Amino acid sequence: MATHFDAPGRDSGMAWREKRAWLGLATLAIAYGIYFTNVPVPVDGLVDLRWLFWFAAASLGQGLTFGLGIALLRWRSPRGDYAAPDERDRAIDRRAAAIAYYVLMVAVIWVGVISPFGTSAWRIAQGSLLAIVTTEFVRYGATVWSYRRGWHG
Amino acid sequence: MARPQIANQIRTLRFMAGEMTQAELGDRIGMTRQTIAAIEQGKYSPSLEAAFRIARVFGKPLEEVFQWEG
Repeated sequence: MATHFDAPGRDSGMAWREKRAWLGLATLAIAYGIYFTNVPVPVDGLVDLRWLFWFAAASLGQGLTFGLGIALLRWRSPRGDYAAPDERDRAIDRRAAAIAYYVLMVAVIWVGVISPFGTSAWRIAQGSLLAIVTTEFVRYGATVWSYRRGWHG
Repeated sequence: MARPQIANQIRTLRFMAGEMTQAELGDRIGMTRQTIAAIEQGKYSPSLEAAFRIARVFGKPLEEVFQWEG
C-alpha cells in the first residue's frame, strides 16, 4: 500500500540519522552555550576550579538530554527507520567527519601551538573545550546540511 | 542544490510494480526509505552497485532506470 511518504517532494520523513544530528546540534548549542556564557572566570593569580563543576554539569546535561532524545525518537519512529546505516548514511558520515577533521586541526594549532605563548592556562583549557565542541557542532552541522541539500559524492 | 545530472524512473517503475512503496523497495536492496526518496528526488546519486540492484528489482536494464543527462 502506498503511503503519503511516497510522493516526491512531499516526504516529510527525515532520515533517522538526520534527526539524530539535529538533536546533537540542539543539545550541544544549549548545553555548551550555557556553559561558555556562565563559566566563572578566575581572578588573576588564583586557582579556581569551579569551571570543572560547570563543565561536568554541561557534559552530563548534554549527554543525558541527547540520550533521552534518542530514546524518544526511537520510540516515535517507524520500526526499521533506525536500522543499520545504508550507503548514503555512510557517505554523509564520512563527509561530515572529514570536514570536522580540518576544523579540529585548525583549532588545535590555535589552542595548542599559538595560545601557550602569552595565554593563561584557564584560557587554554577553555579554548580546548571550545575546539572540541566546535568540531562536534561542525560534524553534526555538515551531517544535517548533507541530508537537506543532497549528496552526490 | 546543484541540478542532478542523473535522472531516474524509479517512481514510475514503482507505480508499474503495483504501487510498490519506497520502504518495500528499500528493504529489497538494503536501503532506508529516506534514501530511496532522496534518489527519486535527485538528492542522492546511488552507487553503481545500488543502481544495479534497483534495476534488478524492476527487471529492467540499468539505462531504463537511470539516465545520464550530463
